[in-house]
Amino acid sequence: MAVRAVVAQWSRFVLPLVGVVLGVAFVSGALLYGASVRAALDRAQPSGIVIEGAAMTPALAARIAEAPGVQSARLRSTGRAFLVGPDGGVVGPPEWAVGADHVGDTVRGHAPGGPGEVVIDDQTARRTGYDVGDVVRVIVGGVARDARVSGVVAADPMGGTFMAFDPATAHRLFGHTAIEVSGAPDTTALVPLLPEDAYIASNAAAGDGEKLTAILLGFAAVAVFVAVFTVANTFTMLAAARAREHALLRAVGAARRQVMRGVLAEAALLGAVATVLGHPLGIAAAWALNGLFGVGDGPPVPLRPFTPVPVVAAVAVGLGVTVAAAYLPARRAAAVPPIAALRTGLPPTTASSRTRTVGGAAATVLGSALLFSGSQDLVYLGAPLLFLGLVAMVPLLATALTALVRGPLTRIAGVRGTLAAENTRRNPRRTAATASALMTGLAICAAVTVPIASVAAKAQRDAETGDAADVRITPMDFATAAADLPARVAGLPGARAVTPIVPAVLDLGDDRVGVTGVDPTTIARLVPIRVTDGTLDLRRGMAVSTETAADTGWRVGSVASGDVAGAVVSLPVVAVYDAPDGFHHDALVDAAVLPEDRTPTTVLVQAEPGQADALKREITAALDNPTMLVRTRAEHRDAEGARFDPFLNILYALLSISVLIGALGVVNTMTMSTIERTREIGLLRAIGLGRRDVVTVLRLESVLIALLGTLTGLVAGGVVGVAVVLTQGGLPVVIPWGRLAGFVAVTTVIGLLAAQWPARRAARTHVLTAIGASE
Amino acid sequence: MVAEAVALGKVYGDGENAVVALSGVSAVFRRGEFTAVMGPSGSGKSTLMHCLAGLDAPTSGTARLGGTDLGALSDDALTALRRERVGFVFQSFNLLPTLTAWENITLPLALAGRRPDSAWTEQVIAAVGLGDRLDHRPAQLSGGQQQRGACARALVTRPEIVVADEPTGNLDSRSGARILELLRRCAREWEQTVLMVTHDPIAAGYADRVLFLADGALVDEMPEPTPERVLDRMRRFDSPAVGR
Ligand SMILES: Nc1ncnc2c1ncn2[C@@H]1O[C@H](COP(=O)(O)OP(=O)(O)O)[C@@H](O)[C@H]1O
Ligand SMILES: [Mg+2]
Repeated sequence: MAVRAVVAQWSRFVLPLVGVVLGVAFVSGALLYGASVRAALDRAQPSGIVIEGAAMTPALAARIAEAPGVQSARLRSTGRAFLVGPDGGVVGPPEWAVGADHVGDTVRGHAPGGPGEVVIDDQTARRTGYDVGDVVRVIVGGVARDARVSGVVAADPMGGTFMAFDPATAHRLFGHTAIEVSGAPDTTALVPLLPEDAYIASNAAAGDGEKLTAILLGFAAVAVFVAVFTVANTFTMLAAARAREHALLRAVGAARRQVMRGVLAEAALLGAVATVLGHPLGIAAAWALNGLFGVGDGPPVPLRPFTPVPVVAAVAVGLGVTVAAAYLPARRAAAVPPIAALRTGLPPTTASSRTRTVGGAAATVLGSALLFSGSQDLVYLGAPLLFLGLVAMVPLLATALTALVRGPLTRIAGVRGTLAAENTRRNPRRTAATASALMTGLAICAAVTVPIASVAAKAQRDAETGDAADVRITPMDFATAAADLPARVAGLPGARAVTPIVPAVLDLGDDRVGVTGVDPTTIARLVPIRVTDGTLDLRRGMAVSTETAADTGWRVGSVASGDVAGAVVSLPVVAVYDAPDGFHHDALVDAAVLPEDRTPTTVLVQAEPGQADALKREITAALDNPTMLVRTRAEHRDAEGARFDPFLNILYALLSISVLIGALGVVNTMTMSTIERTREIGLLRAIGLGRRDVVTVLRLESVLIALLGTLTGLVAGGVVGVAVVLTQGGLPVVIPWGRLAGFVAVTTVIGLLAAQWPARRAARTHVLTAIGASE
Repeated sequence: MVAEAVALGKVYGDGENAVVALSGVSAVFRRGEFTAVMGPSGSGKSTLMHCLAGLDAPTSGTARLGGTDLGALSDDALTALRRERVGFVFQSFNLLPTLTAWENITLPLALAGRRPDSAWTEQVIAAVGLGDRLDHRPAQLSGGQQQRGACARALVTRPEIVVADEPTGNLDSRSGARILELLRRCAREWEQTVLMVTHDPIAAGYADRVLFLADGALVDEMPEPTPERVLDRMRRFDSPAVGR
């Protein structure tokens, strides 16, 4: 019977089915992709034991080689090395660009024979078209140099861009960085042999696989939550449409339980179909993700789609969630009194219940209180509470807001506006359930957008470092600048003044002070420093900011002694200064006094007046190094502000599934509502409502529902977002109005599209058939 | 002459399943005339009415309203014609549940984007006796009040013709009588042309004349009907069936 009922009404089940299918697919996909990533990370685990740390010496290698069970212990030199591609950019993801000393065999060509030769991996060779004999540009430690490809080795299964140098060159470039141990030693026996700052490398990335799975599952849970709304709403609407049928069943002797079981059986069937369709879709999604965002950028680890966990999860979500969502509507359907079979007229509309509203208001207030209590932990409690409270209040909001817009809408769209507003409020619970589905996705969109906008605004503000540089040079992420970078830039004709910014820490034993290395001759021209005491001659010592002076008690003439990266220094204080806002450095020293391995994180350059762009081009051309970002002041500020955009876009992509399911819910509600109102639409057409007007009324109604969900969602998410920002001291609260308006625009379009199909259908219905349709 | 049916024919479906609902009906409806259409169930009464009101298209013949050939009009033009030149009263479900009585009554004007002519609208509302119920929704009105609201809505645009399909079919006799008196009054006092389908002889007795349909054809016409004479005429439809 359930099968027949579902088949007969298949069109009403299609949209909730799609919603559940997407939910199942999301969960399956998250689990499968997560498992594949974990497997890839496990595979990346070195096969033997690797010892890493600062003190990798031949002596240590020799000692370890003597340990019981160890066959050999080999010193390795590895580090960051970038390859410049034929397009002038860095090849591959920078975090997977690795250089090392050459060991093992080449698949083509021969091992590097000297500093001018390099070996690349075959995947990189394929990707760039480089091959044995080609001269390529290699960047290590910020220094770009040309090298001839002497050979090609097999790519690491993780992918990445791999380059190998002859051992002497590698040692010069990277130093000794690890000891590779072969054999089967007892690792606990090795530990006592290691100096303090050496350790046995573990696969730190393995936990990332778990974290990734958890994050993806979180977003999948949101999608499932939204699907629950859609399913529950569908069954509620179906129960209303079939109230007479159920009452008739009850009148002829069916028990409540039997009616309920019938409805639940339909839900189970729907869930089973959703599981069967959703799991393969999840496999496809995981497969696509694996291809697009594999670990590293090597060939992905094959998926194992039929392992127990994803399959069980798919069934639990598909079947379990659907049946659970249908439970309450099924109970309500079974509660129809037999006498209802004899009544005519539209199904009674349920107004929003008082307890629900009061409970919702209480939860909203309590949630807000927790959110703004100032405690970070309470935010996690307050956010869901506020959200659920608002969800409970949406029916009331629906009634209130539509009453509010009725007048304006009537003025704008005439009686079509009146009809749309009235239709939206005639069944507040249905409107609310539909809106809540959209609300969920948008609440989370807003809740992530507000903090990220705030963080981005702070980054942008921090980018205003108060200096007077026209152009700044910074290494891209994962890259470093060469120590001679400032000197090279200073040699360019267009550069008037150049200073490096070299961060270091002066360890005083009981305290630590940041000492920033700069160029003593130019710093005063590049940063408007106001000296309050002494003279700013960094060749004779250190200048400290007034804050640092206050903290440490140093005055001009004091001598600070401590160690900087292992080297003991004694620095007399020669000046105390007030720095401009944004120039956050404790103390300034001559960069030359810092150890050589401290490289600049920024190089500030002053151009001839009005020549910033020309200077930027001049520097870019001279460096010929894609790992060095050369930016004007404005470009730097914009780039800092846009840093988080890719992250935000990934979040939006994950949330779009939830918004899509919510949108399907709007389509579903509009479809069911227009079917219910066939007679009404027929009557309106008879007394003179045009076809296009029918479409307009339904579009307006649909947009109203969508906007109700959007606005409540954005308010809820915005409040949570602001609360999160407030718990992070020092962050400015920034409401990204533009983006929020963008969400409203998107959901308005969703509302319009959602009405498309139901409205077309309604406009096409034959007037006489519609009037004749039984209610 | 306000409306006219010329050899009006309507066939539903085709081939073996074809049902002839109307076969060559010709009739003329004069200004201010209250016409009742009677006949056995399935005789084509509703079809005739629908064709004259621009709700349905005949398969042969011509339906004219105030000189306009309805067959020549597009769907949009027909919609506008129904909105401005025809008033409808159906047997049930005449009012939109979400709108107040006032909004329902003035709905055709609102659909046309016209302001209600307040004097006329007040006169109509007074005539139907809903002056104190204008803020109520249909669910708060009795069946009779709802039908009177429907009549007011049909009249509010001063249409060329008011068509009513069994307007009293769902009402008790007292409420029904009020509707019928109202329809007679608007024909006599306001020269409103009214076309009413009914199978109640008493209802037909309110009309100026009765058209009798049988098997899709016009078989008789009775001026100045009384319920007794109509009942008599109706019995003659039934008698062959008795003899069969
Ligand atoms: N949409 C339709 N499709 C097929 N046959 C129809 C349709 N509408 C009416 N008919 C048929 O046309 C004939 C006349 O119908 P109708 O005008 O409704 O009669 P009345 O109103 O006199 O009862 C009937 O035989 C009916 O079955
Ligand atoms: Mg009929």
